[in-house]
Amino acid sequence: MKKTKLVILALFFFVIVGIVLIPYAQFKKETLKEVKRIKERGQSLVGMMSLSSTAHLESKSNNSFLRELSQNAANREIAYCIIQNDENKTVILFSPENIHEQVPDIIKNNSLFKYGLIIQDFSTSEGHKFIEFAKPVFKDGKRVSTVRLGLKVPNKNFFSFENYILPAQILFFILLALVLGYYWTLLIFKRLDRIKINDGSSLKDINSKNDIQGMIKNLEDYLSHMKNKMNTADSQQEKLESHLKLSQFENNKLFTVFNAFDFGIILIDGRDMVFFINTYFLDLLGKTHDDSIDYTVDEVIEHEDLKSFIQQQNLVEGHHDANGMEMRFEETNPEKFYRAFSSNITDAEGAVFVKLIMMENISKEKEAEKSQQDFVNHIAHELRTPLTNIKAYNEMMMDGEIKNAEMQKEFFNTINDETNRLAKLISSILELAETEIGQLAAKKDMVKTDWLLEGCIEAVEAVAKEKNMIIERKVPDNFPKISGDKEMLKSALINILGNAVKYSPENGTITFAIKETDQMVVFEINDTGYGIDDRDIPHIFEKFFRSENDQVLNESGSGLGLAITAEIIKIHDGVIEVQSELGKGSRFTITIPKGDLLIG
Amino acid sequence: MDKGKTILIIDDDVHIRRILEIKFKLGGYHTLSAKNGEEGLEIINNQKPDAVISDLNMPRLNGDKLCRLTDPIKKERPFLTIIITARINPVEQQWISEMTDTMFMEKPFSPSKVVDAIDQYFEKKAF
Repeated sequence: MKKTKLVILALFFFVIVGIVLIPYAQFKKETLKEVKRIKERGQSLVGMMSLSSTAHLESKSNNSFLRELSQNAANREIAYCIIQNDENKTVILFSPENIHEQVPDIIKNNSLFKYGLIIQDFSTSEGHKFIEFAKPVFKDGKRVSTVRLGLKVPNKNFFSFENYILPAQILFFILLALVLGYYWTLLIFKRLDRIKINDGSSLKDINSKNDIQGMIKNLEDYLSHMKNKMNTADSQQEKLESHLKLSQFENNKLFTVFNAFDFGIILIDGRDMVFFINTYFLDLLGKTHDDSIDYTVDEVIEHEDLKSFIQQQNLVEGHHDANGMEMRFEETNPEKFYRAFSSNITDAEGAVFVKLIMMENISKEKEAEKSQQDFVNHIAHELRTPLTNIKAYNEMMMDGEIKNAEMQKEFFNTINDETNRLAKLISSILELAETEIGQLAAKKDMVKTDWLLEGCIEAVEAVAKEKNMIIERKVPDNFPKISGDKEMLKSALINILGNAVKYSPENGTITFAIKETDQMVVFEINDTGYGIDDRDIPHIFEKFFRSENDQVLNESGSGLGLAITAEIIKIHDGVIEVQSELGKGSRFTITIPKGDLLIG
Repeated sequence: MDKGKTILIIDDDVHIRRILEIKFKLGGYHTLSAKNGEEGLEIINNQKPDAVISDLNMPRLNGDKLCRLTDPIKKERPFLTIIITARINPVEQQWISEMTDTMFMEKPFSPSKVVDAIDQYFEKKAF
């Protein structure tokens, strides 16, 4: 407390000293300024006077000069003016208050006998201060007179009213600052009082003493409270950092999952910057992670179709086309077909903060679509070709264009053959449709393989005979039985046996063998035909596939037979295999499980 | 009446080739025939027919490829190509429209209409 008092006393002392020193310094400054001004004026006046000759002053302008002086004297500045000739005799004397009589001799002598401008100050017995300016006047190189001018120095009092205006102002502002400071402090402490501490009490409650000590105590409490708060904030920040790390970890986990996806993903933020792109998409775009992340969409995506898709999606915000956009990546994956989709991820207010672009491989879908399209085209072609023939041949006959009897016969035969071809084709298509329905259409029954064997041979025997071909049977003593649709199985075997006859030269041999294992029955058909080209073998069970070998093309066929056979074997959970050599012949092996023989 | 023009018929179906040959011969045209696109292309290059009737779906070289291969030839030696197809789809219509002097006809077609189309082409050309 003593220390505080000493500080306050010291401050008070400095304020008082300051209040005294400031006006004193101001007074001194003013005085020096006034003396300087008087000296300048005196120099100027005496200089002017010394320019006029004494004679001139004596003769003509004496009175006017005196009048001028008396005007200046009225301003109480010029105390006296004496012009003395070379004999020190006073020529002109102007001294309204007879101050010249009080000029000390030493001043007078210095003025009269020294050369140049002489400036001397002196005080009278009454305490008034004067400055005497003296300057000799020369004519024809000879000193003819001396001008002495006395100017009065105003007698200023330090304790005058003007000197106290400034300290009074300073004092006023100090007092004002003290009063304002006091009330401002009170105001601050009042606000501190309102701050609630953790237990719900306010600082004022803790120390309601409404004095400086109380306020300081309040301030200390507040600072301690703030420190606690800061510690709490630090701990919260640590928590947040931990949450952020966790969230980053979760993000990375999510991105790892995205990278494993079998479709492309790009995530774009609100500034159109790519912040995630999975490896699938990177491969498609031929980019790396480093030249994609934190780049704009335009910089990352150079693919024209994809670029236009994204622009299109930006235009129709919120109403994206569910069908997406089909595109291809000729440079990185030229054989595949893709479809782009987009979606916007919005916040609670519905504002888009992430744009999601996905890329799906739709090659299989396109393949199925193409296969379906090809199938329809093939059926149309296969059906309309015999139909065209029937129509064309018939039209010419009806128009009477064919007059030759032989030709007419040929035409009728063609119409008949093509009608049969059409009917057979329709049967094949229906059969194919039935087999494609699969198990639903199959009528499972116990089928005797001897019945199958004889039925199939009977179906092709006539044609084989025409070509002088032998069909050999290789069968076990006891014919096995299998569970299946007998008509379907017969049809399957006839297709293979029929092909063996059709695509073999004359005089060939066909072997039809039946073998049995514990669970299976094996049908084996060998021929000595044209054989199948290696490149055709993977396709022979496809619908409408026909080899381009001349021996095959010379024979009529729809390309559906083996496709139907394969479907039937599949329905019976069997397997069909082919071995072939061009020019030597083929071997078709069909293995079918015996199945549940109790049926039927 | 010999019109002095040769028509090439390309089709893998022997009966179609036969009926068109008879029809064109009756109409005063000479005919050439090929059973696939490959043979057809060779005849176009070597024997320079005045018009070509071609199936679309053929082994070895189909009608689509044949047209694309012969289109540049037509700039120097124009000739009409009639594509005979079982089923025309928009994609096919599009590429056919892009070819020079090429039209299509759907199966089952009338032989008289094919001959009429060829007659009209040559009449227009004569003007």
